[in-house]
Amino acid sequence: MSLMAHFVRLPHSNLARTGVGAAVGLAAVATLSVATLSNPRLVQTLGNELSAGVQQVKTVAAMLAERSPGERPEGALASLKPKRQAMLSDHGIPKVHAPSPTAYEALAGPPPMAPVAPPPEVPLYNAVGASPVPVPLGVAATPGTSGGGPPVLSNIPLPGGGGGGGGAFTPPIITTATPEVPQTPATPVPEPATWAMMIFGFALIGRAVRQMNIAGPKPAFD
Amino acid sequence: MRGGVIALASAALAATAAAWAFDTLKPEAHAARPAAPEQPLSGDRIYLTKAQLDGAIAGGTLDRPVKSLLAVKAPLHFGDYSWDERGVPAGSTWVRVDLRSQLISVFRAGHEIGTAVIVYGGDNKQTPSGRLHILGKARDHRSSLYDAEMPYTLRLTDDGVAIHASSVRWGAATHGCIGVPPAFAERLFDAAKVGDEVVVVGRPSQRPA
Repeated sequence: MSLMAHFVRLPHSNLARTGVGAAVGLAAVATLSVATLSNPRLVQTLGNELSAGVQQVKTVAAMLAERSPGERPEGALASLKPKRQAMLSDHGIPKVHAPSPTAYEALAGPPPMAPVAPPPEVPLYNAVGASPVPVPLGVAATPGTSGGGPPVLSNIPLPGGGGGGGGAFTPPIITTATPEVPQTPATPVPEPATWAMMIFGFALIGRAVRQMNIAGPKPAFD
Repeated sequence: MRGGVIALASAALAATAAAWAFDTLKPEAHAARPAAPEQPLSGDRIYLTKAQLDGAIAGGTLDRPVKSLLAVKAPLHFGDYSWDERGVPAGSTWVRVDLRSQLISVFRAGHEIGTAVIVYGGDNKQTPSGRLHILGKARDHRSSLYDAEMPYTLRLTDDGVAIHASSVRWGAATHGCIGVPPAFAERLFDAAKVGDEVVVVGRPSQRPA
């Protein structure tokens, strides 16, 4: 705008006249373009006329091919659903899964060949028999540490061992060896204590649910 | 300065007037298009010229006169369809199924009123081609052979080949039936009647190797 004002101040200059003429021409063209483009119907009609002209040159086959998703690939991609009879025969067979290794087995690798019987010189349950092995008082709480049992996998003193005192205290066996894989496999049937704990847990949940039902509003579908 | 302002204003006025005049004159200009001998229908249509129609019939794309096709802007995807019967007069209905381009087109009174992507018979269960007729209609059909719902069934042959609603997706095939999208199948079911002709062309096994 300052340029225009500069030219206008010199009305008799040829340069100013040329500049004003060019500016007016540019403005007219710009205004015409804006007016044309801002009319969506005009633009659409122009586009339609153009496309109609193009469509009148195309063949019908070309127009149909343009909307087509293409030919279907041969063979393998044409999947068919199986018939019902074939599906039923599959349903009758139970699925057989290979046992998958547990996370512990995956970490520890294949289990070592466990001896069928424990070493004969260390009877496992003699501690509760008629001739118990004399066990010092401080270690009595942990029967696994008595005698020649399995080594204790610990670097810290056993609880109770320090407090009991007495001359009969044996220091805990400290080992830094890698933990051995337990040689007796876990039985699939839970121990009675596990059963009791589970039943107690269910009872606890049931009691909580009952209390919630008593305290809160009853559900609508009850 | 004054001359510039006046020129600018007159240019803007002229442009606006031109745009307005075009809007006003547009219907006359549209009606004067030579390619549409009849009153043009609403919606986007492509009216075929005589040369186009003659070429299509000579090339085997069409087997009878067609006045207009739907203007489908972009390629249809699996499951897409287009339907526009606004202003199309009553008349004979026929269906064109093109297996090669995987398209179905429904015509009434010479105008295309609907088109969709289809799925058709697999290589071991091919869809029969040729001139077929709609032998029966069943809105809620259930196939006892395949234990599947086949709504809006238009039966074409005595052994069960039909046009029916199906899950139209890429890579799928049928046991010989022509599967169309469910919404399209409903419209086609309402538009077609028993006895209408269905022309199935472009069987893949007839392609030159």
